[in-house]
Amino acid sequence: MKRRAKRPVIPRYTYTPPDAGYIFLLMVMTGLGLLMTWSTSIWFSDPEELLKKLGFILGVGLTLLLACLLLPPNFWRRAAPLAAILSVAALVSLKIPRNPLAVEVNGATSWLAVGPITVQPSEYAKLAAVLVTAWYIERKGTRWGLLDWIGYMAWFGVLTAAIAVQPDLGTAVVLVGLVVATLFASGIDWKVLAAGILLGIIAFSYAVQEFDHARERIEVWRNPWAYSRDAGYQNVQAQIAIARGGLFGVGFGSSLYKLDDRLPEAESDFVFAIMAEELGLVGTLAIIAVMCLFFWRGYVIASRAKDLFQRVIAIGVTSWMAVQSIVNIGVVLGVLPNTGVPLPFFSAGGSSFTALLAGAGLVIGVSMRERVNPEGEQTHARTGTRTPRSVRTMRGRTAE
Amino acid sequence: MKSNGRIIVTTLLVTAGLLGMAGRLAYIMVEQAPKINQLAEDMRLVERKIPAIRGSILDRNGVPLAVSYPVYDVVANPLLMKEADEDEAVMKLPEILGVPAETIRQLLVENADRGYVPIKKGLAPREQEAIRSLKIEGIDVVERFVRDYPQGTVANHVVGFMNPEDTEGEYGLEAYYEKELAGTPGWVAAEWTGNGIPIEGTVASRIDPVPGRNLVLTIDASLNREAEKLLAKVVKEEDAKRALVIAMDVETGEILVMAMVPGADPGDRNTWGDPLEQDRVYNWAVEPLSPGSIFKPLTIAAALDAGAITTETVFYDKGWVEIDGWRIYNWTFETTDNPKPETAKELLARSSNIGLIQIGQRMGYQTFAEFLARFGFMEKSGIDFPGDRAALGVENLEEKRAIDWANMFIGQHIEPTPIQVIRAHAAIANGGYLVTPHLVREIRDAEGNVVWRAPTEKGRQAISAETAAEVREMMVYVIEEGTSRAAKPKGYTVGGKTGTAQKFEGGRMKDRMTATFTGFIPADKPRVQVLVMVDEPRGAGYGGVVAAPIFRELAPKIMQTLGIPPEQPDNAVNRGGES
Repeated sequence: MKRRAKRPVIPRYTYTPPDAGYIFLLMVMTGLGLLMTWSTSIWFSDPEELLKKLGFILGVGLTLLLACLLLPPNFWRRAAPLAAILSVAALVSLKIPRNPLAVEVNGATSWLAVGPITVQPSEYAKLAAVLVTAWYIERKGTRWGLLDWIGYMAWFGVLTAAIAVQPDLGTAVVLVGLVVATLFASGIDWKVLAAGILLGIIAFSYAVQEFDHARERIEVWRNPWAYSRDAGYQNVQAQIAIARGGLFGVGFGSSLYKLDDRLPEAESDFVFAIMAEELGLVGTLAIIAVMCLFFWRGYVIASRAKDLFQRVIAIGVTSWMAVQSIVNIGVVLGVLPNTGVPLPFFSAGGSSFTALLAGAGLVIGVSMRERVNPEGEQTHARTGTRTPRSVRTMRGRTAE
Repeated sequence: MKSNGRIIVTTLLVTAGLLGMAGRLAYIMVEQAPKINQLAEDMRLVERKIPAIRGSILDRNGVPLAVSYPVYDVVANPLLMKEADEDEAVMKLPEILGVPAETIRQLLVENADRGYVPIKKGLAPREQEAIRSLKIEGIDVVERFVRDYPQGTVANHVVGFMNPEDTEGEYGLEAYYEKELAGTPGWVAAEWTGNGIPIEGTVASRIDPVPGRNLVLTIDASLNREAEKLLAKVVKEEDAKRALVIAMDVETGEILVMAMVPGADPGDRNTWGDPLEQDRVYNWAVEPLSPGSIFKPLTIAAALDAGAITTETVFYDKGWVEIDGWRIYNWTFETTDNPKPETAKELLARSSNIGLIQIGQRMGYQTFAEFLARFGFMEKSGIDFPGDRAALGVENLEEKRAIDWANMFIGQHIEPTPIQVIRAHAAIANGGYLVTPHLVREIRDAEGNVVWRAPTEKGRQAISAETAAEVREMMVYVIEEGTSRAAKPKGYTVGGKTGTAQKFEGGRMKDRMTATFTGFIPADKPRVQVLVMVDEPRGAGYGGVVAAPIFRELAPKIMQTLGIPPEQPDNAVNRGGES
């Protein structure tokens, strides 16, 4: 494993073979995901069109994956501040009145139209959040002072709020979840983090009490069958579809509930119910097991990373996928109130899929680069104000 | 920096989360699945009602008195509507519905949490097609039937009315024949889209609605209209509270005319008076009311039939009689110390109270009570109408005092319903038997097949045919020679009797009375019995003056309708010119 790469781009990193397990599991996830998308979308699509669309998404995704994989950490270090600005700008632009690029679907302005393609900036905001957090932690170390917190929260608060007001509460929740998980796993002082989480829970409970539609959602979540004709319809249909699956499922492609909008959002947010219906308990548990292995592998890559930036990136991307998966499955199984987040890799949706592949590319990139010069002694944990020398050096180098 | 503890904890947390989800999944798929499958079965196939169209009410000649037709309501389900749907609705609906866009927007916004918001009610079929073809999510067209009464006030007291929602008969024949009229709603068991349309291929069962049956009445609408005109005139001229005419076929019990004034349009509650004027919509032919002297032929019939008197038996009428310390006079208040002998016929012709009391006393209370029962006053008349009841004042007969009985002999202190009075009189007209008065002649299904016909068998014999003939002769004499000459129509010989009933309220006599008349036509072989009551006309308001002329006008028209020619053809020609 310690074999050195022959031609390091940046002297301080050496190449190692990419993590084969991670790549294999990623291929399994991607393949299964595309198959499920095919299964849930084919009944209302022209096969050729659908094939083209999936091919296009896969092509874009793989391109992004390769780019993320090949671009060195130093590029990402430089890109992080830009990502911080761009992500907020793109999300805020959705709220600009009469923005010609903003597209409203289902009452939420979550899309930007770029030519014939529509992009969901919030999906890429997750990627940006990972990158920015990694960059910030590397700069500030793992013990933040009050100012560090304020600085981070100022950016993250705007980003989350911009998503929440689309309105896309689900993505906002996932974003908070992935950042909390990332900060925690990265070793941020847990007392402050715990206090933050507590504050968040209090604020959230207050919001639920305040807003009727949120309260109604909670009410429906408690007993969806009481609202099986209106607000609880989707949850109830999901449960019915799942129950229909039995041990071995009705067979791939044979779901009834994906048809005719019996289960609304069957191809996107509620695809897990269709997976349960088609593949049964055994098949779905197998997929959950694959997810588990995939996330483990991601965290193993993180734990093996030799520098904080790489480490946080691997943690962040993996936590993003894990948190979003758990939230999505929780919603479908009725454990969590109905928010609308896609199931990573399985839900149809180009933005989500390509952003995920880009994230996976970053993780593979982490696995194939090893820091040559340890940086621990150069991090100013106490003050957290000075930039580590390594970074300065690199800046100097790349500037040449 | 190199502490992997946090990463391990995070990995464990993620794993725990996914394991939890896996457990939950297994719980749903194994443990809860049977229950959910059952609930799903119940829920997936939803039965929805298809309303049945209500049957019509037709007069005996097929003239529609009550009909139903479909209208369409546009309703919104804001729960299903997205902002774009609302915008589309606000943009496209105003043009078709004529409802301002702001109003629609306001309705949708204010009822955002409701699933059924009517936007416009009562659309014509063509408009509803236009709305349906828009296919806006959450905008639906709901079919509904409204009840219409094409003849307006004609026989409205008989036809009755619907509840305010037009879903169920509330009064009259509409209520009495609710089951027949309502029909049977159909059902469709299917899976439904949110918009209330069955999903193609999921219709598991479909039962078409069975339209309600049609009632063909015994009532003749044009005669009824004629009668109402006459009544309206007399009510206006005499400042009466109300008036009614009933004409019944004495052989079958078919009610040809049941007209009441004031009336109202059953389909328009604004015409019912505010506050509600009961007499406009509620049928008082089934409400107890003192008949007055028109009761006297019944008293005579009882005495004759019991053998207490004969047509030759004579009585002496001094003009007054004292009973239990009360003095009763004749209606003229004339007295004499040298009364001449008079038969029942003569006493009836001048409507002698004193003579009739003597006749009644001669037969005895027991016999009279027996005849009250035989004439059907102790029971319901049997008419197919809600609220049919026995007479008031015939309970506890053993407690009656002599003065009470005396009053009953002359048609006071007893309150039969008008329908009971005409039924009893019809027994005199038809040769002694009771009939069952009825308003519905036959019931037909939607295709026009007769599914039920009202029975017209003779009922029990109340008096002998001989007695009936004797009393009829007296009643003809009353018209020809007595108090009721105003009732004699041109061209026909008739029999009848006027009456003027005193009204009591809280034990005190009211200023105004009830002017009554009943008669049969034609005299030789009676076919129709007519009862006229004008309640609380001003002044003297005697039956002979106020009520009898209505009979005179109406009776020949009934004869013409039934095709019974006048006895004197000359007069018939004249009358033909009049009408």
